[in-house]
Amino acid sequence: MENNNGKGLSIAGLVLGIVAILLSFFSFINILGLILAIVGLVCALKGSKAAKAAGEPTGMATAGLVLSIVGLVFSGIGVLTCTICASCVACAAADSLNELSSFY
Amino acid sequence: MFPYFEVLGRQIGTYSICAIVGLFLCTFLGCKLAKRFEIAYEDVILLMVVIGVSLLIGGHILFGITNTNKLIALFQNASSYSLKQILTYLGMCFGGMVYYGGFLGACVGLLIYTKYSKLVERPIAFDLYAVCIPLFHVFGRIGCFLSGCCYGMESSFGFVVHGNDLIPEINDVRRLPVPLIEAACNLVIFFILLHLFKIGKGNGKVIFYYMLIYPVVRFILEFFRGDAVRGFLFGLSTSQWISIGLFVVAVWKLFLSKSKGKKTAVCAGVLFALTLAFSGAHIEALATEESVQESMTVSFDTEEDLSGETETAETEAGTAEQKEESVSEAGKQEVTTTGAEEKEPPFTAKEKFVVFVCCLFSVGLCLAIALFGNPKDREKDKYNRMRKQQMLQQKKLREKAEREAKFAAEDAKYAEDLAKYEKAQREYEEAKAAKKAAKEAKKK
Repeated sequence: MENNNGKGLSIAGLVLGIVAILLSFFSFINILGLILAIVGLVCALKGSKAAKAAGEPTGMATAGLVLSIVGLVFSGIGVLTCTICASCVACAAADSLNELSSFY
Repeated sequence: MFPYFEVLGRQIGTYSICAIVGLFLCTFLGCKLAKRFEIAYEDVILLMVVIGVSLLIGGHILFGITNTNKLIALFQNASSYSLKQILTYLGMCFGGMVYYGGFLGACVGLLIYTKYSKLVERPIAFDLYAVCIPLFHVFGRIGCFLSGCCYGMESSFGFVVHGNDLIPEINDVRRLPVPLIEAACNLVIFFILLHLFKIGKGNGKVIFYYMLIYPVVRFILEFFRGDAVRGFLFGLSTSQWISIGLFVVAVWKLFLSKSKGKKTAVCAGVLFALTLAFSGAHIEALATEESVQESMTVSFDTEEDLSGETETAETEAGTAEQKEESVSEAGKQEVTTTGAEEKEPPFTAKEKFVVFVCCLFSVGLCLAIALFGNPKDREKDKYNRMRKQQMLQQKKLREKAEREAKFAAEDAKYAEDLAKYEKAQREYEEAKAAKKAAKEAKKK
């Protein structure tokens, strides 16, 4: 029989949130952390809704939600910092890319 | 510029901090605004996640599209580069973000999300998005200004950038703070759209009001940006072409699609023509400036050639040659300085005034159209709003009646079960009493 109290989703959100926080501390891998944090956030939100609908306690879902948000923030800071770097490097290296275009 | 600060030996970008703060504020605002539609906060956060993800993807894709020629060149010569070099170039081509790409990407993301998920209705989702996006953009532009990735043209008014390690070329030059001006404009747009949302003027059309106001601001501000990497097509940047497209769509959807009022359509048309005329005039001015510079270079070359001829004619007179050289150098310096003087003010006071008046007029006209519009439209909106409220109330009453009926059915079932149980118990007791009586009779 299908268990619809959202416990599985809450646990998934919790685990993914923890993994996302751990991955966010490593350069270049933090983009994976960002993806996991987003998936964890979605799982935690779905789990929270299901738990509320079933009248079950939502503690684990809330914990998953908080950890996923923390993971999202940490990974997001890392990824967006890289984005700005890439944008500025692209700006600075426009000449080399233009050379590439002229070569073509 | 203040692109980074260090925390525990790690570099943290100020842009990312600004973006995260903006995202949180938008989510908080979205949750607050969604309460009037009785939408759970989980659904709003999910909506914001969808918007954020599609915004990231769209922004990167459009940045890549602006570098299409470089990408083609890279793939044509892929065999002559190592994998690391290819990845580095790809990172350069797709690494940055373009705002309009993010905006359009989020629109597409919302369309897909609202098609497959019925948690939030499409008009409400787009209204929330339209109110939140200018607020997010305010923080985004402040982050751009701090990190130094976006900057304005050289100007007599503005800030002098010092110590930007990422783009050293922009250092020590006074530049117009275009990102800060855009942030201020976005803040104004945010308050206008919030007001429209609160009075219920939008009804799923707030996004079109945003597409009516913001592109005008962006179109004009785009002329005063000095970024090196910007896509250009027929004299206008990629963002300006997208601005024109968005403006046309907004005018069509708001005023022309249902022929709601000719006056408003005419106003919008005038506004559009005005911005185009201004851009045309500005491009013409730039072209004239370039032609003047070219003619100056040509005249300088002729002078140099002449001096060369003089040199060949008077080979014996060494002192005369030195004099000629010194004269030509002096001429060169003179021409360079005059050229610098011509180039130093990129736009004159008259142009500044025109831009200011144009901005003020455009935004004022948009505001007037958005807030007052056509009286018939107002009546219709009012009627629609009342009808929506009535439908909502009817839905609530229906749900309440259904709930009460369900409870009544459950009560009736419970009472029936209870009666059955009591009857069974009574029969059991009667049977027991009868059995006891029979036993006693048998004993006697």
